[in-house]
Amino acid sequence: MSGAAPLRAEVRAFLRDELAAGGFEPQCDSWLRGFDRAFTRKLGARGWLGMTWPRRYGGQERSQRERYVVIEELLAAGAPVAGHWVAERQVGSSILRHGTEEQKQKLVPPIARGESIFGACYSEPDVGSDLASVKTRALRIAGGWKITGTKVWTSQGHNADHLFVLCRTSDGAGAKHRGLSMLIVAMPAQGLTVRPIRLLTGEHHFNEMVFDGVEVPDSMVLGGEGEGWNIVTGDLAMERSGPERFMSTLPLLSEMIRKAGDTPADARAQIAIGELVGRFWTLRSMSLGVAELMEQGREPAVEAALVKDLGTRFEGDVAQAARLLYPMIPSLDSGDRFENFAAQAILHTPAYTLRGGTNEVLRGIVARGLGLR
Amino acid sequence: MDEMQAGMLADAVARALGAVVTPRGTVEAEARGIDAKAWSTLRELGLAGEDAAALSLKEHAAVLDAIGYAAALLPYADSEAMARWLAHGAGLATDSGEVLAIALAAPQALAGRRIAWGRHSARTLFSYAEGGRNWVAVVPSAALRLANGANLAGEPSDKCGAERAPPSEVREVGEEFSPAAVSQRGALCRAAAMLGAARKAQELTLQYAADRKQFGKPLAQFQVIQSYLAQMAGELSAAAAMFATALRAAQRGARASRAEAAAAKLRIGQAAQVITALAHQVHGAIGFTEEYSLQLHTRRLWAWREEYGNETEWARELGSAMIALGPDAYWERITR
Repeated sequence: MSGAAPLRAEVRAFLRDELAAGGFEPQCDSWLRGFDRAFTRKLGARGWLGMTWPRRYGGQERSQRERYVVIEELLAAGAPVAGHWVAERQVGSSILRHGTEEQKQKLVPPIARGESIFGACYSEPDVGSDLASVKTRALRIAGGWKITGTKVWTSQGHNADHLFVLCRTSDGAGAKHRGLSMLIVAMPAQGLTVRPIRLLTGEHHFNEMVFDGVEVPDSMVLGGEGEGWNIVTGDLAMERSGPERFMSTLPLLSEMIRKAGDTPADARAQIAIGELVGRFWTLRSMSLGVAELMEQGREPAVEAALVKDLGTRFEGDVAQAARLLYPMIPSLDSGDRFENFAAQAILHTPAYTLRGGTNEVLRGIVARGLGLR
Repeated sequence: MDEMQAGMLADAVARALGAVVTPRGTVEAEARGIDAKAWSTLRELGLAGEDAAALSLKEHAAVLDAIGYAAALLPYADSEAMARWLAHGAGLATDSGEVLAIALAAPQALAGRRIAWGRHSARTLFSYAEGGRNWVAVVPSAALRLANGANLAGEPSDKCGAERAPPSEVREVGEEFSPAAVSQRGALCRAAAMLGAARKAQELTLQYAADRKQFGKPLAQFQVIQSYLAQMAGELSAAAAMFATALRAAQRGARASRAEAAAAKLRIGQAAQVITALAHQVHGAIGFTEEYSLQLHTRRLWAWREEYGNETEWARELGSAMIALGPDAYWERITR
């Protein structure tokens, strides 16, 4: 990653300045919980969103590696990146890959500027891991489609400017994944009700999105009718191998290292921290390998699944190691950063191994890759 | 270029060993502590003796991977990838025909020590620090008065009868051939061979799960077995990724790549625990018999994970280094 050193230094300097100016409060799982439109716009202004995209659509035509440098620095700092995360990680690239010229020109540059927030509407009350079974229907109307159904777990749905909605547009002649299409809904939309699904902490990031006859013009169907499954599975490879799948609790690991440095040398702390750093370093090596494969135009679905399975377990293990190493009373209202980060990390733990494909589903993908299915 | 050469070398060694090494043969060779036929095969390929000194660490790693995969009972790592390299670094002449043993110790402190492959060696190289300087001492192995012993893999781990032995030569060496550098190279050599052994254990397990039927279907069709096999694949791929990072970093010199080497040996040690446990679980009782070849690979993983630093030792060293750097600099170090 030597070629990216000046960029890395630039991002670190920016984050240092922002922290010094009180621009953000570091936190664990900042790509889910850290919503900050102003911060997202600042990143856009610096050209750090959609870095790999073509310039004519607002990108910088930089490499996957350079983008990787930016996002891992943001995550390590616990910066508030939730606003643009979904749009920048998968929506923009999907539109660039599958969209019409008009869609690309209209939808992609605002994402790169940090001005367009997307919500992904995939899961439903009865449809989780078995995503091909979505029931939300889009019916043909003159010049477009009319969506009826309920989506759940839409991150930032209450803040979104657009929604990516996976809908059933036909029965797919018996093959359920063939009858799906990806429709883009502009917000605010008539017929849409957004209700919070609060986390066990009371935090509001997820939403239930009830579509009751929401109309979408033909110009907002991505990739054409019936392409929904291709789009969403292509999305998932990007969604699964990134550093956010093993960095959600990295700010806590950094605090552990600070605490160990502030206390007398202790073999147990050295071993526990060494184990975590070794695992982290490994995950980063794997994830960079996947990024390289994607740069070469490959779709490393199995490798991505491996990163996410190991990475999300690591995230939970950081929280466990922290509390066992330095007994404390974790609390979200603690003024002590270690206790505070530990509370965030522990309370978010159940999500790590579920969101974006459960670890059981991921192992199924690996098993298929091994020729067992 | 280097990448391609290492790959070609790995293939050539794998083919050559594949032709002479058999599970039965390895089990029988344990009585003698070496697979003599496989050893002459490597010598014919120019991989032992003075030619071996010219190989890069990456090329040694490719050979070691093939040795682990084949479960070949060979002193290649200690004699060629380490002792021969150390002798050259110390400016010591070696005889192409001799096996060299290596020990991380001073020749005055032999009590309770074991010397890997000692019985086959003409000379043993001792790597140690004394008076703030780094030394390599050469001792004729006969002077060590070795009694046969073995590690968990049945490789010679011979016990010193002598408490001290007079060196025939002593050389001072620089930082890059210090005991720390030797232990680091040893960790990478063991890790390389472990990757090969782990890959073979995984392949045997996949094949067994496909072939073995219970309750009317192959084991591989049971979801819980699929989950085990996926976990094994994850561990192997993780260990391989960290090892590749460590090999790349090694080009910057030993001191500048110590943290990566620590993480690599640590991670393959962790992977070995999961892979050996699940491989045996899937195989059932046949896997822990002498006649079935899985044990050759799992015993190697159990033996090699302890040698040149186990998970605790490397984790502690890595952890201390990261704590000393602190919450900002550790991150800069990892992302360097």
